[in-house]
Amino acid sequence: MPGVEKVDLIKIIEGFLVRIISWIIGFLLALMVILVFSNVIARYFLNSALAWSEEISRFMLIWVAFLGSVLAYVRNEHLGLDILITVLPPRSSRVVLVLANLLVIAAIVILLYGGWSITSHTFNSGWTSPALSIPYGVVYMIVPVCSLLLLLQAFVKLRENISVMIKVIKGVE
Amino acid sequence: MLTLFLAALFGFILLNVPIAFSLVLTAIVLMFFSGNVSPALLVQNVVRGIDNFPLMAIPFFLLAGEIMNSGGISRRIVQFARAILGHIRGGLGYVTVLASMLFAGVSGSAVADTSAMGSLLYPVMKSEGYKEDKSAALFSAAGTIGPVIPPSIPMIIFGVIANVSIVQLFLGGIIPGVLIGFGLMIGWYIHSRKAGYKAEGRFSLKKVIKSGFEAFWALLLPLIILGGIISGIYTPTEAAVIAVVYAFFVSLFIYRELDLKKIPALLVSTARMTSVVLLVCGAAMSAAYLITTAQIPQLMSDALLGLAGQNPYLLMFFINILLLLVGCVMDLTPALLILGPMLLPIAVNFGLDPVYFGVVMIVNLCIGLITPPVGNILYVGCGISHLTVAQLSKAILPNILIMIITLILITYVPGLVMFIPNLVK
Repeated sequence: MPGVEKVDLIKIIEGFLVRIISWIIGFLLALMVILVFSNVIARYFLNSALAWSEEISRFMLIWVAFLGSVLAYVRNEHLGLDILITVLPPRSSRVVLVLANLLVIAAIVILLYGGWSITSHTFNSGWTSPALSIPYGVVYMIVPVCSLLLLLQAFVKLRENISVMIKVIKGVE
Repeated sequence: MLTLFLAALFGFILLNVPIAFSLVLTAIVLMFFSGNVSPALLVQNVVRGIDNFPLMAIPFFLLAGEIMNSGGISRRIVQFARAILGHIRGGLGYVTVLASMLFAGVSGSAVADTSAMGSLLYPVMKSEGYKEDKSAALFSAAGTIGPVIPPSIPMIIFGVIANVSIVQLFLGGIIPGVLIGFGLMIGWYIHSRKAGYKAEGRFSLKKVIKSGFEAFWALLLPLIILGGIISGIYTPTEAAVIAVVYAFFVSLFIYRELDLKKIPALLVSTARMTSVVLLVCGAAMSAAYLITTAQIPQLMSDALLGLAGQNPYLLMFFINILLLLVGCVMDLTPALLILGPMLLPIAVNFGLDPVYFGVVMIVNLCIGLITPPVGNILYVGCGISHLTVAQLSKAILPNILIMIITLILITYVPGLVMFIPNLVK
């Protein structure tokens, strides 16, 4: 059946992206430790703070935050409240899950659109960071990139949620 | 505007939309009604909310905690506490509380504290015949001391979002954290007498010295962190990175227990935990910007003024009740991020000190970590002990009561919070 192959392909791509993102955020965090620690050493033992070290590590934190959010969304780790889902009967709770999924997609679209416009705006204005002259567009770029990844994942989840919802509703009737 | 804001936010959250996304949607709704919809501005504010050097202390403290757990540092802290208190009737209970307090001095999160102490001590308590539910209730409640005794991730978040000195907040948490610890010990004393636990073994100074010597490098860490922050030698973020490097070296070269192959996994899980917190942080700050422009604190303040008159004690009574209720259903971090910027201006209007208010708010929301139906630490406790949420919720009630008494104490005797910060000012 071609449908089965399709699902597997999505899972393979998902697994591949998760591996790459894991590597990137782990690497960025290690780099942040090294940068900030070297800055402490530089300030107290060599008496010269490295302004660029704080700047670049802050930008890395932004990247880690957004990239990590994608992983956390794949693993359903984002902080939320599932009290209504557990209280409601299965049919309505499935409907609520689909509704929540759609709302999440709306939020991601807002982030995608906003992220895209702020990125292109800052690239065009040539606005750069004070210490290293990194274009702010590079920093903001992570928002549309991760929003796109989140959106893909949200649609994967939506498909699952809808098919389960249909099954549950049919099963009860 | 206030009703709209609360209805939108809690509506989305109730519908099981993750809190970070709920905040984004609420921000857009607010923008829509104020007539200036700009997703670009919203994203810019989210990024600005994350782009904060003090917030970098969060991944660092989390990472330091993870390294300490897999590198044998936590185990040595437990052994030391056991040598001091293990021989008393029900000794392991006191050991749990003392070790949690010591570990709180190096970790900033309740989850880290609870899972470290619970997984090390619960199996021993169980095999020595202690009541399972009471033991689990004890290590879970003791774990909430983690973010009260400095360092503390919630205090870093509150300091950033409310623009209050993180160092002062850290100092303000010391006495309340110790009080909770003593309170839990008193509760355990009463339980031990009732349950008729027997004293085991004898106190041996030799053992204390030996385990103290072994735990020396572990026990030095709180001093390095706090000493450096209080004396102003380094900032909390720098202290956090020093903790990471220190924990890494001690467990790799002195205790020789750290498996280097585990490091990448530790880095990735820490980064993931961090991003969950930071995304809510950024979204909350972008919503906070709109909350302030919509004058929501002002509106709430007027409403509370009607309830509390000009009386700050009455105000704190209402705020504490509100936070305890919110804490029952919401996690510490989002509750702090959503309500902190709304409530702090009100408290300041009533003439209360922001440091005092922040510490009271965090202690209050820490109680929420162990109150059913939603309590992060309650779930961690169930995970470690394999008890059901219902069993643990019942056993933990006396501990919740003890913590509420402590909360009332620090609320109405502000000196308990402010004594140490005022010394250092």
